[in-house]
Amino acid sequence: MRRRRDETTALLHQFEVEARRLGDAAAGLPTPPFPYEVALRESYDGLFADAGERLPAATLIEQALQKGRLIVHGEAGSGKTTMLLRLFAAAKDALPVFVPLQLWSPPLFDEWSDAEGNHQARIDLLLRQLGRPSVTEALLAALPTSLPRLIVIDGLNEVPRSIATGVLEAVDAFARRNTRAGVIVADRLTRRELPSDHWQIVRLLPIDRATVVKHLSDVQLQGRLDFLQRPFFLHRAIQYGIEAASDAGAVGEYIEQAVHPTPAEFDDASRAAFELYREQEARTFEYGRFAALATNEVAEKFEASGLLVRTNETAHFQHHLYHDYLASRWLASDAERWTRAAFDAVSFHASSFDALAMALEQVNDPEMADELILHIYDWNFYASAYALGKGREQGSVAVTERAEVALLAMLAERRWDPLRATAEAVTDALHFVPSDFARKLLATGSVAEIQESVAHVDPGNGYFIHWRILFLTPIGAAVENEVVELLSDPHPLLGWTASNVLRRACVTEQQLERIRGMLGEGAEWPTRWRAAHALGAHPNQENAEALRDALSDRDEWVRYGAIRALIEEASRDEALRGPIVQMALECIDRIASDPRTVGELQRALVLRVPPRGWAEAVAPIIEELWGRAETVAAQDRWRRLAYDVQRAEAA
Amino acid sequence: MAVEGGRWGMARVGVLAVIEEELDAVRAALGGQDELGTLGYYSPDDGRQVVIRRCADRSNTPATHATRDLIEDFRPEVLLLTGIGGGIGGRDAVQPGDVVVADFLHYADFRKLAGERDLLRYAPYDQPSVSFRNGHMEPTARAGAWSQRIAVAPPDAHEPRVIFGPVVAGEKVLGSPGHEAHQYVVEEWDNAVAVDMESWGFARAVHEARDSVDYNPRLAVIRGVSDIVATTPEQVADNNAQRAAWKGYAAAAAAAFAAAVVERFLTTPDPRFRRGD
Repeated sequence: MRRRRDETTALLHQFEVEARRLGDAAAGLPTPPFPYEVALRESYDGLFADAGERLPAATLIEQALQKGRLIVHGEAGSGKTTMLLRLFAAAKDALPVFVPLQLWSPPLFDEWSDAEGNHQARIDLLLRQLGRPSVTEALLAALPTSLPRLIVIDGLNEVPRSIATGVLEAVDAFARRNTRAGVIVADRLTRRELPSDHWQIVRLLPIDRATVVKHLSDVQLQGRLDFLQRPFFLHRAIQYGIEAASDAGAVGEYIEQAVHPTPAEFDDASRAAFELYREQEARTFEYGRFAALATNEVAEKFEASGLLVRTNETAHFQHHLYHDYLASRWLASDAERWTRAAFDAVSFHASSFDALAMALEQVNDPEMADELILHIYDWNFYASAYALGKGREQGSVAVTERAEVALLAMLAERRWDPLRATAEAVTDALHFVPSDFARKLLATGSVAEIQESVAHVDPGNGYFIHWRILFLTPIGAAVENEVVELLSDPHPLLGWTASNVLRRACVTEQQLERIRGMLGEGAEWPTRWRAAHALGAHPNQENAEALRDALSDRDEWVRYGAIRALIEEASRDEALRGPIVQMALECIDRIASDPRTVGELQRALVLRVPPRGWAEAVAPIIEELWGRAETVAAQDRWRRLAYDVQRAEAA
Repeated sequence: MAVEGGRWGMARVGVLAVIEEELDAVRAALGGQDELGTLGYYSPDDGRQVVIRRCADRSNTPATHATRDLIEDFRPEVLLLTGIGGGIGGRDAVQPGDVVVADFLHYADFRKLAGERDLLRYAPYDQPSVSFRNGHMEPTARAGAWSQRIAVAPPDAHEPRVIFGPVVAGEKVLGSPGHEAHQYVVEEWDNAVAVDMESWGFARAVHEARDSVDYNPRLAVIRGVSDIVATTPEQVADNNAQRAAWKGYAAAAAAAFAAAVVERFLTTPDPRFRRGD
């Protein structure tokens, strides 16, 4: 008993020390302290609006203890970490633990992976390896129950998406077990699949304008009021006189001022930052590796400036925007680097798009900016909207209006995509772009109305004329064979628009045969992918068989497109539904062995507007995959999917 | 001994129903007409002793979620899953209108399909509490007065019995189990009395919650038999008609028995410390 009392006392003391230390760190945080405000959201549909009752951030502690778990969404530089540190330091009547996911490092992947399905082990990993103080759930449980536990997990966007999903599940299970605990998770502005209905969604609002105006004169503001509503940039404008009005501009200016790198040193640091993202898929890395890539002198300069934080042999940038900027600078400087692999690296496989947005800012030539944004669109449409939206908000990108129109129109058409996840993601993406045209597209009620909006845009010259003509092909009209041939056009805009146009056109059997041929092995992978996408809207036996065969394609994106299109065909044609389900069952080994295909199958089965009997029709596929699952956790994923499919039909 | 309560309170009994008729029957039998705030719970006593909740939908997954919520929100001492289920013909002479109390729960569907082989797998879940059954359910059944609480008349003359026996929880991931699934269950579990689709999800959530010395929930599963499961294609139409006819009565019978058990249970002293009392 005495020994336990001693341990309890020791741990309580440890909490006080850590809280004081973090409180001191909070005292070292930007001053003056800004008044952070939040808004509660009923659902993700309201996430992107700045509207809603403004509540002081301090209310989050009470909300967290009441609901058990909150997820706070905010933009890069919106002050999430600072706000959370202040909350942490102020949590005097609780036992707070701070978990910075920025410190996630590759060695943790194995332990995390081994604990699949074991939420308790995973939360213990986070608390023990990253928590301040370092604790376990059992230790927390042993402490006096009179004090609620507050766990603050910062930076969900700092880890790959699959890890982030696991974090949310582990937190949910922790909150269920510990009714005297509350967990606050901080994330970027992105829709997450929350494990239960208990979660409270919160939006961290921009600093109110009156606060900005209070700290800076009109001269200092220079018309940057909206931009400076983000605390990261407001602080640097106040303390360091930063004058730039965009993310890349301000971060670059600040690095120049703080580090004074020579142009060569800047390039070395940029290359190192990019390579570290590519190698590590994490924001924490070995200091020695950075020094090896960038030179010792550069590493020392960055460390001396405070921008690079070193703890023994590991290091991370003091704010992820520094790392993102440097990596983006390297990416932007050479069009040869604009590849899927590079985009995956700087975004943690499409988890965080700030580096891409900053890369786009740094491409000053309009033609090259158009090329970059279209490459990004080709890789991930959501990322392209985010990058474009950020840039337009700040007036910092050279993307032409015509490219913007084309991009947004192609996005908007997908609001009627059969897959619910795609329709939602596209709508979210359109909210990012602060233009009248984007708002107009969000208000349209049909593809025909989108076409009408595009028809009013001045065609200008160049590829846009061809694109516009193609896009404005009347719905249901017959098309020339050359439209089919455009599936293989190297320009992604024309290629993908051709695919979408073919989906809504009256296509002859000869043309379908040609498209099926383009799905074959002779064509390049983008062509094959576009061909699969086009076939999805034309259900018939031959097309379904071609898509089935494409499930063996050597390119993962083609397989991804094929499974999606196959399920789409099943959704469109009741008579074909049974045979397609049977086809899928016959290929189930192939499907089950490819994570990307399985993932897309899961998304594809949840339709925006499921036909009657859909759940029952696709049940054999889900049950087969469920029956093959090795663990209860894996079975649970299929059970959840089945439930989602059923609910979508009932809705 | 201090016990940590739930986020919203600390009830002694948590009752879970699945379909709307089951919820209505339970609320009628227990007197839980008032909703507690806007939480989706009902209670005859402002949540002080009994809380009632409905699953969002049929099947084990929603049952797991609802049970988890119930436990997190109210940390009940005892959890009851009450509603309708299918009887297995020829087992203990079970008839529509009887009430089956699970003395053991089997889970039919954690299997590994490996080529031609269909291998059984296992996952941990709780079993119905022996002490609760011996201490409250069996005496209530023996006393017999519980059947007078049944608020609905049976479609045919019937003297409801309480049968204690094994229940098999199935998992048709989507839709309802067909006669082939039932045929498999009947053959594999030759002494099971009834089937349902939620008790495994329910029992699993209770098992997960058993993670500290301070919280030791007990569970029970009560099923009013609405039909005798079809095991051949010829039986399906009759089975559907039978279920339609007996569903209301079966739900009411299960609820009546549950209410009698709860009433008896609540006469025992609350062994836990209450926060704020």
